[in-house]
Amino acid sequence: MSSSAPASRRNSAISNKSTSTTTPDKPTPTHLDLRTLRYVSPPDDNLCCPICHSPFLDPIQTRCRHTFCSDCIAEALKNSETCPIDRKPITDEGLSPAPILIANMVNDLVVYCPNAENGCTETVPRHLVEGHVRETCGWVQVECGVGGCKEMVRRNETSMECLHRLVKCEFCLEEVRRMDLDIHYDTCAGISTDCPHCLTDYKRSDWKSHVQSCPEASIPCSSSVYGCPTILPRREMARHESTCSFVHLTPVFRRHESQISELALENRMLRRRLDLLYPRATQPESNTNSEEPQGPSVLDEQTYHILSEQEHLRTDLDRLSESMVALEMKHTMHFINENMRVKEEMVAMRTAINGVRMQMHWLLNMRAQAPFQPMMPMMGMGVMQQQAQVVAQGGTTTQGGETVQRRHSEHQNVKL
Amino acid sequence: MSLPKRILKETERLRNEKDTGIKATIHGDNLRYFDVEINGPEGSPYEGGVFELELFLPEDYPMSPPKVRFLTKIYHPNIDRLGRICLDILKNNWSPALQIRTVLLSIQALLGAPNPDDPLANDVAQKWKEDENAAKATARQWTKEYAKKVSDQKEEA
Repeated sequence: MSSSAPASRRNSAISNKSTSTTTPDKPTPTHLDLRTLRYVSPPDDNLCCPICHSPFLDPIQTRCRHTFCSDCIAEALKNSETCPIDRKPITDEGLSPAPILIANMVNDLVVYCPNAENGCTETVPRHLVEGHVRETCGWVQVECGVGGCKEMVRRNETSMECLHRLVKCEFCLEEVRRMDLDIHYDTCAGISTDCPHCLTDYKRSDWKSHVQSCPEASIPCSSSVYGCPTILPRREMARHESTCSFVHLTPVFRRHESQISELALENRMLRRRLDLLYPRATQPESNTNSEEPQGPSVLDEQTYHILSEQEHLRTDLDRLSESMVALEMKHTMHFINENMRVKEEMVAMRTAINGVRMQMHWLLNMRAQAPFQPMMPMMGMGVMQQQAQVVAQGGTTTQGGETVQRRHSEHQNVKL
Repeated sequence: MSLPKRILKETERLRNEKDTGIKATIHGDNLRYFDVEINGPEGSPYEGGVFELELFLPEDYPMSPPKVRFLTKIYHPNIDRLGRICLDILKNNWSPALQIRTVLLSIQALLGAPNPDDPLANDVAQKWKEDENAAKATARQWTKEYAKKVSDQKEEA
């Protein structure tokens, strides 16, 4: 779109052709972009290019007799070789300069000077704007030229005198460029000004230090921070301060101030230690912003918390010891019961054993007295009774008569 | 690249556009991005609906077409689920002599004259060809449901 875009071969061909045919007098190296010009009155839509919506620049007509700026149509043909209006196929050869009438009409449109923002109020027909900028516009930067000076200066500021020459400031004797002199005066330290308080003339460089000590300058009382509302000229302030009660109390205020700050520091330190000791209690405190009034209540809270915790633990302990006693009782009872049962059982066993022993005695006596053979049936009976003991010893019962006999005799030896 | 004068001119002209049922306003501070509202054309199933679109002017506009997309859900054979529009002037038939205003008017015309023979949403186009009345009823239903005026939505709320 923009004329600065790199032009293709075709594009350059067209613009070369068009420039050579329509505006041969147009200077080629121009930095003035005619598209950016502002028109004094809104241009007629019929004189505007359908592509850029601005008045034609270097108008070109297609074979289908539509008119465009030369740059615009060249750019459009790069994308599609049809007329942007009716889509009829066209090529470079189908393009020709628009009628002189159209070119004249757009060239006669009145535009503002491109330097209007800088202050130029000129309005000129568009085809003259380049000449205006090149030759007459006072707001264009040009070479100074006086005495071979190469610096740039606005054309309407050029004169016989070179503005870049260094001149001496008559007040501070500093060397300044002629054109910067006005700006320099605004800040020149050599120029004197009136002190607004004592109306004496002072040089700008001395003025600052003077204001610090000017006897007429109004200053607040030195105890204004402690509440004295008095504002008086400096020369009267000494008298005021000798009677001002705020000034008299200043040392007291100061002492209090330092004490308060010390206490605040200490308080902060203590709080930090407290936080370290009871980190759980700090959480609700962190939500509150005011520190001082919260202090004691936080402490109470913590103590209360600890006390209640202790109470909890104590009741827990009581409960536990109680249940422990109960458990012990239960356990003892159980133990005694069990013990008694075992004792009874033992008694019963002992009697049973005694019974068995008696029987055995009897049997042994019988065997000692009676002959061996007829005792067999009796022996069987004895064996049956003895079997229980044999099983308890882990041995295997055997039905063989001889084995039983042998064992019997063993038993005899052991038990009796 | 600075903003071409043409875009500024078009924006200015669009601001003064009042009675054609199209509205384009610059979105935020990007002068190439527009919020668009198109009223459904009278006599179409989209009548009474206000459709929101987004329009973006690419770097080489007006040499290449603006990118336009429906943001409002619409039941139309040439507009797909993502809001993309099948319209020749937005693709190969673009001409630099066209402008935002004419593009939006063309889209409005497309709402008035759906073209199921060149579909983008195949299912919709199929429906449109098989049973045009049912399809139009669906379009009307969707318009009622999705393409409300902001003021209407406020009233309901």
